[in-house]
Amino acid sequence: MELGIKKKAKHKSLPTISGFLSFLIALISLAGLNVALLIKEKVFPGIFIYQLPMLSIFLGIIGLFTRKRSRLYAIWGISLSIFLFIFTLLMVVSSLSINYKP
Amino acid sequence: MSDEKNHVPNEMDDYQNYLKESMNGINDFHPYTEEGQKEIVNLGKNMARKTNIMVSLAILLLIVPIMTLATYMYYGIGGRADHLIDVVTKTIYVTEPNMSLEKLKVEDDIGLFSMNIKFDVLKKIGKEDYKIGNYDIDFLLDQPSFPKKNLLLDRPLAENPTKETEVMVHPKASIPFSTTDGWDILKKLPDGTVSEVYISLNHLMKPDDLKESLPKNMELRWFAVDTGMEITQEDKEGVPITPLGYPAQYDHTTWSPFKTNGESNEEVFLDILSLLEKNESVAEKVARAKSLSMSSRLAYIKEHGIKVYGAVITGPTEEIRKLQDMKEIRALKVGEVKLWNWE
Repeated sequence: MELGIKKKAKHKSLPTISGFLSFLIALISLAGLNVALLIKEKVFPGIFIYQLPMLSIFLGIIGLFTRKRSRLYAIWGISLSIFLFIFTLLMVVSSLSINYKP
Repeated sequence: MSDEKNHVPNEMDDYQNYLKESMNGINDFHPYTEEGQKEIVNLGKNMARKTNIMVSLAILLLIVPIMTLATYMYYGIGGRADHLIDVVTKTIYVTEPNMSLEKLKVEDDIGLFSMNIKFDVLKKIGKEDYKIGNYDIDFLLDQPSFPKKNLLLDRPLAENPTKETEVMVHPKASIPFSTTDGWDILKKLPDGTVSEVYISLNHLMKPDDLKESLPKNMELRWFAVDTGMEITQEDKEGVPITPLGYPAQYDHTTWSPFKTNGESNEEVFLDILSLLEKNESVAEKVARAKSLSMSSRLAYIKEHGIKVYGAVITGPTEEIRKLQDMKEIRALKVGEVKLWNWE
């Protein structure tokens, strides 16, 4: 069978640029968090746990509003960013309950 | 039957229509050139490779945060870390004579499935609390390793206690050291110094009776309590034990268990023993003695009450010398000596 494609259906499986950026930024945030954890940094750098994940979520949401392209990267970007927020929240709560000093 | 006949041609019409549409679609269908096909395959390959790399990277980068979070949740939920710190610090109060610590300054460090705690320990010699070293304890989940101690003492207690190294001895046990050496050291120490001494009594006494019988110008720091095992100085399996006891004075240090609100130090001592009984494996790692036999010793104390056979006293050396005249004192061992601070 010959490989062909209808005129109107153009690169339907390709992800959106914003979805890709969302995923990429989430990965950068995650890498930064890993470094902070491995070097046992006491205060996590805010850029990796707040600013970049916020940007990633914003781009991910834009990436979701498309019918013609794959939303895979956008979903990954949003999921990782949400994980980063949940991670930060749970770490703060847990840290406060371990050897808390007023 | 007639319905069926009518129905079949309709289906055939639909099928014919569908075929026509498909044929029209094929007319609309533009086959790719060979180069175009290669381009599409390459695009697909690159996309798959990129997706694989990014997803794999995401999964790998999630490992450390998830494990860290799991560790924090493990120590945080139910106050497990605080409980372990509580057991460690209270073990020191009741197993190390005249030793205290500042719980507010206990430092913790959570690693992957592990926790490390560090804290300084203090001794009151004369009127001042001296930092005499620090403890560094690693936990793997809730199991502690043996503490790494860095003690800056002139006369530290034996790290592996035996009958021969004991400094406070039960009235019915033989004294493993010369009874005159301690008094000789005190005589040769200059006035104007303050000393810490371990005394062994001639008979078991109630803590209040011992307090009243001592001369005024000195401070009782720690009671060694009779727990039924001090005559043999070993547990049922023959493992050496060390004294169990408690601070004699109200402790002003923030968060000290002996900073009591109306409760006596004896009651706090019994509460601590109950806590250590439930967490004996942790307490035995932290204490110098590798057996605490907490359940039988606690049962003995509850049955016979708190009676002391030894104590730690501090004060001016010239005043401590006067203890030689007390008939209640059977033997004395000198601990740390510092410059004058008794005012």
